[in-house]
Order: sequence, then structure tokens, then C-alpha cells
Amino acid sequence: MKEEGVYRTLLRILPPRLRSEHGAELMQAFRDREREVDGRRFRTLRLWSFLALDMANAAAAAWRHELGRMVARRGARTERREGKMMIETLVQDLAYALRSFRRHMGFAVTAVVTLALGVGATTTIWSVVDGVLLSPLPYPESDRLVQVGTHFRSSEGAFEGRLGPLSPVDIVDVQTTSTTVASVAASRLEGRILSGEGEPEQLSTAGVSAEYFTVLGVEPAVGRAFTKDEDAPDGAAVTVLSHDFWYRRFGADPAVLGRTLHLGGTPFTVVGIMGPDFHPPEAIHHQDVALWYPFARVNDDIDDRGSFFVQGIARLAPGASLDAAQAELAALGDRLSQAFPDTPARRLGAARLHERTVGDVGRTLWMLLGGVGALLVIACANVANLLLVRATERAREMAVRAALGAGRRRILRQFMTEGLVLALCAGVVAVGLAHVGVEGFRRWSPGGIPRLAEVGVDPTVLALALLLSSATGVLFTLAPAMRTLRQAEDPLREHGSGSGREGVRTRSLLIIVQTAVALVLFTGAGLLLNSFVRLQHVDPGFELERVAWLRVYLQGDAYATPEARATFFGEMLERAGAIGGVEAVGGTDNLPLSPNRSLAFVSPRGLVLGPDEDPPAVSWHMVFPGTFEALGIPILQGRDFTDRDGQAGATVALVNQAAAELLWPGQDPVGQSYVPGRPESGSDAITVVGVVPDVRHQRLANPPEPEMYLPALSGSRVRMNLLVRTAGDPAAALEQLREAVWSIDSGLPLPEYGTLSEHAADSILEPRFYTLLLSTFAAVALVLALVGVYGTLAYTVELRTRELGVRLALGARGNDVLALVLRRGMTLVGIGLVAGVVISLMTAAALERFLFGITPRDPGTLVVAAAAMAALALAACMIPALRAARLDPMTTLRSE
Amino acid sequence: MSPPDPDRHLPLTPVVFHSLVALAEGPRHGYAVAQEVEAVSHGRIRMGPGTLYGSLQRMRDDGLVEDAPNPGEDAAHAERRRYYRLTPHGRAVLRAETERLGAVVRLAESRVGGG
Repeated sequence: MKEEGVYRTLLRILPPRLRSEHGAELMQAFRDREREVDGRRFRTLRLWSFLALDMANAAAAAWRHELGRMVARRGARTERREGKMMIETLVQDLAYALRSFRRHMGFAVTAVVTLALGVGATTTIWSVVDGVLLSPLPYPESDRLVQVGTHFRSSEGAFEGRLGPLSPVDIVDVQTTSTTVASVAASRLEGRILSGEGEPEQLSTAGVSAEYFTVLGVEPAVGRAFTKDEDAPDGAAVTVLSHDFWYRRFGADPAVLGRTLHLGGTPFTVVGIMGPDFHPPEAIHHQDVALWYPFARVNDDIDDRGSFFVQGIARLAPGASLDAAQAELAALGDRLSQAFPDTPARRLGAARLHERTVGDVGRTLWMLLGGVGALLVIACANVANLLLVRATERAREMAVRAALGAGRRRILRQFMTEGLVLALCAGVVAVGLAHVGVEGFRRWSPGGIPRLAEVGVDPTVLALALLLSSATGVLFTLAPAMRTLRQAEDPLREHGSGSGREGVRTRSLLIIVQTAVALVLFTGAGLLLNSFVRLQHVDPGFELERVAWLRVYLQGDAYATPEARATFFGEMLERAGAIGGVEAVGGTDNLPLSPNRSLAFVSPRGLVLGPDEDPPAVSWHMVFPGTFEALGIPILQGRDFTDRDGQAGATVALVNQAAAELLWPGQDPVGQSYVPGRPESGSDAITVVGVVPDVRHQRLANPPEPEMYLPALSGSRVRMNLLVRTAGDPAAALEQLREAVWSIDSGLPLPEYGTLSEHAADSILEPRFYTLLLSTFAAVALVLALVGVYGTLAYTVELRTRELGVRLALGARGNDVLALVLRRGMTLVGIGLVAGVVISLMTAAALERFLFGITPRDPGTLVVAAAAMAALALAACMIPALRAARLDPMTTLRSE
Repeated sequence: MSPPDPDRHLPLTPVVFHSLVALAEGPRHGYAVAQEVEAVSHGRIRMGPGTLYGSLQRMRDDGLVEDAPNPGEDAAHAERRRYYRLTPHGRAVLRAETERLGAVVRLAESRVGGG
């Protein structure tokens, strides 16, 4: 429907009479055309250029016709004369403006392109910011929705700011005791294999509590949501489908309602289907959800106060503030921690759902908006400069017009019309750029940005951009025109050389501003590039190049027991190892360079804790024997797992150096033992059998942390990532790898696989994207700023031609004149650079979190950026300076 | 107001001429005029919505076409579509233009041969 709005806006350029008589038909015709195009992109683009051209032609013809009608009625309607005069003047002004632009094509094109670039880029980023960050979430009264979660204690003892997951029992307590929260629901993203309906398929699913849909304020479009009875361990197995999934898998067949779907081997009855407009918060943040079911039905540990694995979404009670809810939840968390001393110390908290959904991305987008804003400043400064130059050039023309009897207002209006026409042309180009830009942003931005599907060029944003470009256009044509007019009160005075101190001062200021802002952008882009290169060259501590991975997900009755899974995994490792070219085989539950991790408390033997203390926390992974060899990680001490480890429960572990240092500082970790959880937990002790080096498991940018590895051949995990190191190209082994797994069970979907180096590249797509974007802004800004410096200086030289000619005639050498002009240009550039360095240092903190391995005040980057800009600016100044030095004194003097 | 001299409108622009030709066969709605013009001109004249309705309005202002009752054959669009037909004056103008063009074509043929 956005498109219709755009077309409706386009219609505004037609005369009102045509719009009122044929508006409805025009819209209908547009809809007909659009239907034919049917969403195909290239055709859409062609259609819009056709429509825009058509509208421009039609508007020109219709206005001419309208004018003709008025002229024809002249005699009959004298009272219209005023209006007609106005229109005639406007047409005259317009025609004059267009003629003058045609004569100064270079000027007009430069101004329009510059302004359009600035406005278009700003509109693009602003549209994204608006759609992603500012517009409310798509639920009724969404500002009352909050996420409820747990603040855990970090290893240093303080409560973390991050909201972690809750235990389901804690949610029940929130529901029953809270007065600030009207209702609260639990949800948990899971994955299930759909079988028995043609091809088995792996689905993203969510287990939710019965209140889930009520809290969000939505209902299924067809059927119903879950009842309280169904949300119990012995409740009926029912499911609600997402619209997309229903459409894709069942061709939107309403008869699906009441049918039975086999999910992970369990039959579920379809009781509802959501409408197409429902985007669950999980989908906004992570991934799409195909279907929902009551999670009490599928999770065993819903009564375990020590397992924190659900997200809480709540609706604030009427009249309750977020602060009140936070205070109440914090108190509740304290009470729970005291009542259940066996569970980790925690504090409950709440944050606005909107903030949680778009939180991290916000900073990236604001940074981009800052960058694009700087670009806009430079673009406006550039255009202002151009317009100032034009105005000065036309001082004499204005004086002549004034002398011939043109009124002040008439002359000013002429100038304003020109400014407006320029700005409007730029606006139209900018609108096109913004459409392309938003489309490109949506297509090329990596997955990290939520809600992008909702983003479009917003008419409000567009109007704002047009206003901005018009304001620039008008302000910088009117201001100099008025000044010139004041001087012109004394018509035909000498205007050629004494072009006004004010003009010089404004232009100098513009050069300084442009240089400063461009340097800030340039430095920012330099820092990001620098940081990105470092990120690319980080050694994760394991082999990336020759490793292939394949995710295996075991579900259903056949794999209900750990023994069954262990048997499958053992067989899988053997068959994968038998593939030609495979050098080593292993596997892990958390694929390296994936953000998920599991943290656990571990208590080394003999650990004594104070009453309020928690044992040290270590992140842990389950791995198959051979994993370290497959990843090229050496065993520093002790041994790797064997096939027998884990078979009789997990009693052995490997640790990395950081964990060894944390748990047994200064001691030999091999042979040491610990218990999982708190010292009094009563779990079986685990013995350390080996030590491996620290690797970057989570992200390339994150330093290694204390980690331990447990044997996965226990079969306790249902989802594992098979890893193989190959002699040649790992991609070549992928198909054989899948065949090998299918040779054991042909019913597994196996949709996720790839090479580790691709996976590593994907993990830094996001920094790559915004680095690229900001660098583009910086490059454009740099070019604009240099053009500005060049243009201004060239113009100054032109204005001073006579003075320079006199100097040359009086014996100054070319080099002196060269130095004179260069000094003037570079003084301004120098001031701008100093200002730019100061601003860069002041705004550095904003970039901090985007940088890796480099500080935002990195002196090297600043110096290089400033030096590079100085060199480029020198080159830009050199051209007019050389021209000045080569002036022939006689010609210049004669020309005046 | 007595209908003015048909020759006053000549020569017609290709868009107006083709539109009048399309309407000469009977009442049409706007989109149908555009489609027929595109077909008859072998796609050489492609009228966008703005051009189409702008020229229909001008033709009506000039008394060449007028609103026609909806024949109601197209029930789905009945309430949406507005129909247009030639006025007698419009027919006279079309005839005058056709004669003028015919004369030019004959002259051209006599000079370059063909036909």
C-alpha cells in the first residue's frame, strides 16, 4: 500500500481540477498497472520510471492547458487577474530559472547531484532507523509490553546488566505475586523435525505458555489459542501454525485445522493458524517461527528452579510504571534467592520489549545515521558554496534589473524560484536514491538487523528530506541575493572586484566546516577499516580452512534414549572417517564462532564458599573424540577423549589453559577433579584428563574465556555438529558427508552444513557491512569536500585576478603568487583539520564498541587521515594556485 | 455556445488523434482507450495514466468527448469506471483531421511513390 501512497503524492503535481475530476481513475489505472507488474523488481523499477515521466509530461501539458483556460477567460473575470498575474510571473520565473540552469549546466548538475546524494543517503538511513528503532512493535498497546528476565551474578560478584532467561517456576511466581505486571508468558525457541508429511523438515518452533498470545494481545486468525489445561505436562498436544508456514507447507488449506502433525515423533493437533500480520517477538529478534505449542507439554524440567531457559514477556498492569515493575521484580528475586539457597543468586528485572528487540542494533544504526548526517552537512555546505558563488557572479545582473525598475520582491522571488527548482530536482532524484537505498539496505545488510521487512521509504521522512533540501536551496540563494540587493540600492556601482567581505567570510567558514566534518568521517571510516582488517586476521586458534561441518539433529522415538543417540553418533563418526580425503573426524554441540554458549558453575575439590558466594563459572562444550585433531588444536597435556569416555556417564573432562588457571592456579590440572554446580551439589566428581590451548570459540572479536570440554559420546545431546578435516577442499566432502549420515538414517533432514571458513566469514558480515557503508559515506564526503575546497579557491583566484595581475606586473614572481594562493587555501584547510581532529577525539567514544584491537583515539589513524586529507586538499588548491601563477599580467589588467 | 470550427483544433497531437479513433467505434472507459491506442499504434504510443486522463480532460474541455452512461457490461468494475464517447463536434474534428492527413498522405505518396 506504500506504493499507492507514493503515487498519490506524485499526483499532487497535477492541477487540482484534473485531480478532482480524474483522481479516482488515475489511482485505479495505477493499481491496474501495478497488478500487471506483480512485484517483479526490474519491472517495478521500469514501471516507476515510466509513471514518473508520464506524470511530468502530463503535469506540464495540464498546467499549460489550465493557464490557457484562464487567459481565455480574461475579459469575463477581471477579479482573477491578480491570480493570473501571479501564475504568469511564476511561469516566467520558472522558465527563466530553467533557461539559466541550461546555460550553466555544470553548476546545476553539480548542485542537484550533491544535494540529492546527501538527502538521498540521509533519507535511506533515516527510513531504516525509523522503521527499525522508532516505530512501535506491531502489537496493540505495545509500549506496555516488557521482557522479564534474570540478572545473574557475574564472576566478579556484581549483578550483570544483561537480562538472562528465567526458570519456568520463577515465571509462575511473578504471575501470582506481582501487582505491577498484569500477565506474563513464557516462551522458548526450539527446533523440531516435522515428519510423516512428505519430506521431513526441520522447523524453528517455540514452546510457549498459555498466556503467550493474550500477553501480546493477538489471536489466531483461524481456530483458537491454547487453553490453561493444555499448558500442563499431561495436557493435550496441540499446536498453532504461523501464517507463512501454513501457506508454504499446506498451500493455505483451511482443512489443516484439526489435523495431526508429527513433530519430533510426537503427534500434535493443529488448533489455530495465526494471521499474516503477526510477527512474534522471537521472529523480530532471531528467526521466524513456524509453529507454537504449550511448552509445559514438551519440557521435563519445568519444575526445576535451577534451570533458566525461558524468555518472559509481560504486559504491565494498567497504571503501573516500568520502574515500579522493576523494583517489585528485584525484591521478588531477592526473596527467591533466599528461599532457595541451592539456586544461583539472582535478581529479576524488566526492560521494554521494544528496547530488548532492537537494543543492540540501535547503536549501529545511530552510528550510521551520524555518518550520513555528516555527509548531508558537507553536501549542504557544498551547495551553499556553489550558490554563493553564483549569487556573487550575478550581482551585476541584479543591479541591472533593479536599475531597470524591477522591484526588490520581484528579484528576490526570482532567486527563490531558482533555489526551489534546484532543491526540488534534487529532491526528486533523492527520492529515487532513497528507494534504491532502502531496497539495497534490506537486501545486503546481514541478518543482524531486526524488523527490516517492515522498513520502507516513509512519506513523512521523504517530506522531511524535501523540506531540508528546499530550505538549503532557498536559504543560500536568498541570503546572498538580499545582501547583493542591499549593495545594489546604489545601482551600477562597481561590483566586479569588491565582491563583499561577508561573502569571503562565509565561504571561508564553509571550507573549514567541510574539511572538519569530512575529516571526522574519514577518521571514523579509517578506524573501522583498520579494525576490520585486524578482525579478519585474528587467529582463532583452530584450523578454519580445511574443515567442513554438518549439523545433525536427532528426534523421534528411535533416538529417545542417550544410548540410542550414542550408538548413532559412534556409527556416524566411523562412516565419516571412512570417506576418502578425510583426515580427522570430530564434532561439537556448539559450532565454533557461534554466539551461543553454555555456562556452568564448577567447584574444584576442596572449594570453600562464603554464604553469598557462587563457585567460578566456566563455559562448556560437548565434543566427540578426535575433535581437537580435526580442528588442529594440539593437546598440551594429558590426552584426548577415547571412544569409551562418556559411555558410563561424563566423568572425565578436558579444560583449556584459562580454565586451568582459574580453577587450579599454579597447579598441574591433569588429574584434578571437580563437581558440577556448588560444592554440596552431590553430583559425581569429574576428573580432568587433558589441557588444550585457549581458542576463540564464540566470536573472533571476543577473547578466549575459561572453557571445558565434556565427552559427547554419552549421547546426552540431540543436536551435534559433525566436523571433518579434509586433505583438499572441504566443500567437496560435504555431499559425501551427508550421504554417509543418510546411509545410517535416510529420514534426517540435514539442512545445515558448510565449511568452517565460510562460517567464519559469515560471523563478521555485520562489521563488514557497516564498515563498507561508513567508508562509502566517507569517500563521498571526501570527494564533496575536496570539490568544495577546489571550487572556492578557484573562484577566489578568479575574483582576485586583477589584484594578482597587478602584483605580477609589479614584479612578483609566479612562485610568490602560487605561495600566496596556496597559503590562503591551506590556512583554511588547516583550521578545518584541527577542528576535525578535535571533533574526532570528542566523538571517539561513540565508535568504541564497533572497534576491535584498536582504540577510538588511535593516534596513527588520526595522523594518517589528517595527512591524507591535507595532501588531497593541497592537490585541490594546487590547480587554482598554478592557474594564478601563470596569469599574464597584461591580459588580466586589460580584461577589467 | 455554438460549436466552433473543427479546423481550429487541427492538427491533432498523435495522442488525441488516436484516442478519438479509439472512441469513434463506441463508448470506452479510459483504460480501454489507452489499451486500444497502444494496440493500434503497435505499441508506439504508450499512454501513462497521467497522459491519458490529462488528454481526456482537455478533449472534454474542448468539447471533443463527453461522459457516457456506463453500459454496465462489466459488472465488476461498473462502479469504478467512467465511460467516454465522442461528441458530434469531436466526430467532425476527427473527420477533418482524417481528411487533412489523407491529403498529406496522398501528396507524400505522389512524391515518394508507394502505396
